[in-house]
Amino acid sequence: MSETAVAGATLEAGSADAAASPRGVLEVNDVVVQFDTDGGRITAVDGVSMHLATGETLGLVGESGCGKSTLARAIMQLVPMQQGSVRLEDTDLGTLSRRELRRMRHRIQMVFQDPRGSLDPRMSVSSLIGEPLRVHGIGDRAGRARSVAEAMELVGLPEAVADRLPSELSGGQQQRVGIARSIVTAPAVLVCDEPVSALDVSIQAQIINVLDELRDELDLAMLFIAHDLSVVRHLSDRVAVMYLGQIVETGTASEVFTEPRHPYTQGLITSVPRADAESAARLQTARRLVLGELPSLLDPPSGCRYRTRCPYATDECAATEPPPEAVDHAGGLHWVRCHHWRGIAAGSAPQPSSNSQEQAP
Amino acid sequence: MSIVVAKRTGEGPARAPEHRVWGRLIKMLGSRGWILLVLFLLLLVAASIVPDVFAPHDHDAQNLRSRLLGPGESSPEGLHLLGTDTLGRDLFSRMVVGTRLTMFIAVTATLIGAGIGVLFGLLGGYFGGRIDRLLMRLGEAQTAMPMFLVAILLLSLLGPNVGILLVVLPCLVWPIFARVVRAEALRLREETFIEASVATGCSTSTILGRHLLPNVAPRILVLCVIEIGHVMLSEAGLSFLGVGVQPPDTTWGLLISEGRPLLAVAWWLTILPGVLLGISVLVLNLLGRYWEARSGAAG
Repeated sequence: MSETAVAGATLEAGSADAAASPRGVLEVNDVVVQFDTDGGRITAVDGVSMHLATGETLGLVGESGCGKSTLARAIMQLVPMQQGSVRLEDTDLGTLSRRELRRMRHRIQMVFQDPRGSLDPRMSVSSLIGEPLRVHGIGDRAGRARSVAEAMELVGLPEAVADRLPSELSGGQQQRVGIARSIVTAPAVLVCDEPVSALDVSIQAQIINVLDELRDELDLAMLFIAHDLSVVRHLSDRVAVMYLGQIVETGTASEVFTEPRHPYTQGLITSVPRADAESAARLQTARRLVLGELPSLLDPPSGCRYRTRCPYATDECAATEPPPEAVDHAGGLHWVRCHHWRGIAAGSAPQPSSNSQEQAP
Repeated sequence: MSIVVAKRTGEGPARAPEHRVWGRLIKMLGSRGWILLVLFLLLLVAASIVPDVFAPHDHDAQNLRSRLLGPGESSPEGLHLLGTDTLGRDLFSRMVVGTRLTMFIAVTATLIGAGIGVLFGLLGGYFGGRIDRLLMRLGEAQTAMPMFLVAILLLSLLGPNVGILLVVLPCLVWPIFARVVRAEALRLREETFIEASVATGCSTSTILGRHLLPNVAPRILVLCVIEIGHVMLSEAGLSFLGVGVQPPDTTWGLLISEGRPLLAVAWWLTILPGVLLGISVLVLNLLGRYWEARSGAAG
């Protein structure tokens, strides 16, 4: 556990050298989150590091259960971390007292996956959006009312809904309320935990656009978590791919999407259905790249976490955990955690072993 | 599977037959029946605020020549609708006047008990762990203690005193409030909106007071209505034992108690206040359960 955590510390999402890069508004270092379950102790987040600069969006992708949401909650200090630190504007959140942490919270806010569930059913839209201002004592009554009205306008909520209850709104409107609440204090960092997954596809685009505009308008540093790659691609400057509690590849959005190096990333990207002639073939490839199901966190594979589903897996993968390696091209922001990425890129990777050879129809 | 369903809806096959009786009574009320119940309660409230409007006679005026008149009989003062007692006092007027203290004690004791119970339930349910265990054990200990005996003990120590009622009666009801509120708080604290308020920066007191409390408030209100009835009954019991209200003040329970030695010769002195008490408790219960059933779906 601890060795993997230390190894993870060096793979910093989007940064070749943390010391050399300008300090981000949010710095996450080697975060480990563990839970005790009935089946034993699981490590949901295993040594994740990342940083975010103002005005920048980091997209975090991975399948359900890989620890994305837990990471978001750890960053928000909603679940305890076993290890690591979260620095917000040069303040280590982990060292703060409860009261100090509470006072810091207006600088980092969160948008939740379940829009309806994240809103108190007995509070009106305007009091929901105004609550962060109230609890942080920002502005007087009139000033708060102005801020609430502004926030509602920014997220595209009509004035008429101000006195409604969340249950009287559509899903898209509910999420707009959630977003308005999260930006009303003008935070430095916005953590969006799958903000559109629970919405209709037609609404998703609207909400994405709202977030896109807000980021530019308010100079937000945004951590955008999703399992939908097309959404992430549209919104993100940089992308981190998470698998079983670890970040396996990270780089600028264009690097990761056009030249994915990790077989898991390749699988994720090729598995996005497309309406074109190659589509069927692509999906066939994807099926070869991501085999079977996510292993249990209770008993993670030795060595490389991904090897049980990887068609290129060798004995080396089972024996040692791959260290993060820089993919040597221009930006120097592209990192991957795979023993064989060079071979795979060059087409000279070890052949997929016979038992993992797909019996695809 | 059925267990899961039962858990979620709070209804289920395992419920006691008692609940089926309530269910049937509520069905009999139909969609408008509750108006009758509310009217009855309004009458009680009016009688406790302005008893003189309802009482045909001075409730304390004695007239030894018209003692123990049966219901419907008349004296020179006029008709005694529900008869008179050993001192010739009009029973109906005494019942009307007794309403005020009966209601006052029941409502006050219930509110005190609800206050304690809601506070303990919120704290226990939200924080869980040691605080929760401590508070809930306290409630169980309280429930296990025979409060009537405690009341009699207090009586012998402090002498007859209405204050004893306002100590003992809340003790009877707070564990009920604590249990219900705790269960709700346990459920609600897992909701995303509570997590969202932590993320927003709400203090614990804000979360308890502004988020949890308003979300359990409807259930508390319903429970209050039901428990007022139960407290009325307990107060009658204590007054019957001589622990509670002392003459010349009067409550329904005290009237029942005063009539008891004469049950064989003047049944109305015991039975009629008893019937009024019974109806009131039933009405409060029905109304509470009716609202509960109505709001059940909406949470």
